[in-house]
Amino acid sequence: MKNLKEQMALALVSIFLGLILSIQFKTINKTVGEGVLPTQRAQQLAVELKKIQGERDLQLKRLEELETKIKQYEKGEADKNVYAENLYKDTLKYRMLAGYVDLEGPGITLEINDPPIDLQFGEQYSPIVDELDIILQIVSILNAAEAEAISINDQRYTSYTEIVRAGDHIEINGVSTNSPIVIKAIGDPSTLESALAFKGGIVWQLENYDYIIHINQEKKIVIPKYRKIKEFIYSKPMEDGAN
Amino acid sequence: MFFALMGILIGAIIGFLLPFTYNTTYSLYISVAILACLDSVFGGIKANLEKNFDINIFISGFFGNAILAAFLAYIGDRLGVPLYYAAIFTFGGRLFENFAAIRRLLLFKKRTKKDELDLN
Amino acid sequence: MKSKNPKIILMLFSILIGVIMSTQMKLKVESYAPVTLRSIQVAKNEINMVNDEVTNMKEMIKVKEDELKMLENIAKGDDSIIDILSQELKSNKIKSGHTALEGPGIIIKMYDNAENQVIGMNINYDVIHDVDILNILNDLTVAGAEAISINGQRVLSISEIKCGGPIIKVNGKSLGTPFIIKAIGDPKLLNASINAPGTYGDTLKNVYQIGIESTLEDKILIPEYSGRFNFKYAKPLGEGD
Repeated sequence: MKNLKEQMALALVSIFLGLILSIQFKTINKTVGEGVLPTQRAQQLAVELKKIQGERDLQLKRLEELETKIKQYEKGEADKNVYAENLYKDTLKYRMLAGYVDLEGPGITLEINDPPIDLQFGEQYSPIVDELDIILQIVSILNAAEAEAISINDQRYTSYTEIVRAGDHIEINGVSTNSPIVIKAIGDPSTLESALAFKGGIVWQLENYDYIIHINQEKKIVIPKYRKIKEFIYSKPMEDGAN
Repeated sequence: MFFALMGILIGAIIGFLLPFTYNTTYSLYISVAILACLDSVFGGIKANLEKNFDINIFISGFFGNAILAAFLAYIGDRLGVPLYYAAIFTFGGRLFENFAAIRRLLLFKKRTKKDELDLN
Repeated sequence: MKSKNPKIILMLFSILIGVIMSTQMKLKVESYAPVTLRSIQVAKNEINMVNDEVTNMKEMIKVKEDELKMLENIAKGDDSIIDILSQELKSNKIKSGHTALEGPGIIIKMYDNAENQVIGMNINYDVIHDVDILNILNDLTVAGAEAISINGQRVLSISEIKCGGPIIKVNGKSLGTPFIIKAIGDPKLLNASINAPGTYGDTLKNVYQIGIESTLEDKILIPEYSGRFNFKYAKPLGEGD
């Protein structure tokens, strides 16, 4: 009799276990896709990612071709008369400021590496993801030191650039990026460096958190242009303001 | 010890020469199974040195552990939980335990021999 | 069975392991890591993100193609370059912040904690810092703000926002509290980006008791940029020297 009772209890518990298992199976199947093993799916995704990255590179190349062609035309036409030439120069200046031109010049690069692994308490993602305002602060400091153009991991920092956390990544200009963070700035190299590196400054703070920081002054830094179309939907220029 | 290593080497050569492979999807499960098999062989060596080797225990352990390990990895994969760590830690840990026991047995054997020689 | 030499049996099974191992090695699988749901989700997100990037690029290519076509027409003599350049100049002036803008948006008033008693352990927590403003501005940008100003200073990519004692410096000008931040964009989105629970603005307001008041407006004026604007060091790529 006692034996039967025990078996009943065992059966009951087993039913419960089976229930949980089947629910879990269903949930996983829903996220992964019907009839595919998760490992298999991950491999598929990796292949897909590679493919789409290839396409991106292709589009980028095409875009660059178009841009050089346009530039040639514009310059060729503008050279024909003085007024047009001045206009072209003016346009270029505003384009530079808006971020639609690749720029080069002297400046600094600042590299922020994650703290050594043993200091991160089993975290799976880079701790910088939690401290995005540090990046904002660095940009602000660089601007105070009269930086003329700034990029973060090769994304041009423009007036419309957002720095936002997306899971364990950082998204800048809608492009996903991750640690190490490399910030480049064009401007007077020694001013830029001293603005960052004085005692008690932002670099000092970061080093206190065990980040590994490299600052280099460089004679030539290339900062890429902004790669997004910014359409103004809400704002209109004020009538007298234009021109 | 020595013959087992030789065996693995010979097997590896044969495997490389054979044209046969399996689907990459299962490689994760097989890798855990390999660990379980290795553990069994080490256990076998130890038992052999202790002179209480039982062929039935050995064979059932060899296949049973391998299948259970692979099954755990598979179920874990399906459930979205890395259950295969359980297999890795158990068999990995036991592997080292067995190896330690084998070392002691071998060293002890040598020492007793040396002692005998000294006595003579 | 018992009569068999255990060494031979061990050897046989070792050979079996060897065969399986070498087969495994031949496969050259890129990662043996077990797949968690999270990693699959991350991979999916990444693919979506790159996809977005590609769509964005395609749009850009279209715009550029149109531009090129127009320029080709000029080369044929149908249009005047001056018209096109002045149009370009106008649109770039808008995008670079050298045009005053108007449109619907939000006005945010920020002031230090007015209560006399100190809330946190530290008086610092009751005062607005540059980091607070930077975070608020970043949140506004994420919500698609098209133009932002603080106390009448247009904020651009080259604007600094720095604490300097009791004041904050923006575009080289010193501003004191209260800070009036104006932003043009979708008013509801902008409002949500600073007032929704869990946002930086919400934390400032409710945890640190810093005053944040926002009003939605149909028409906001944001002045043009008036700070430094000269490229001393930077040159267009390939045109230097």
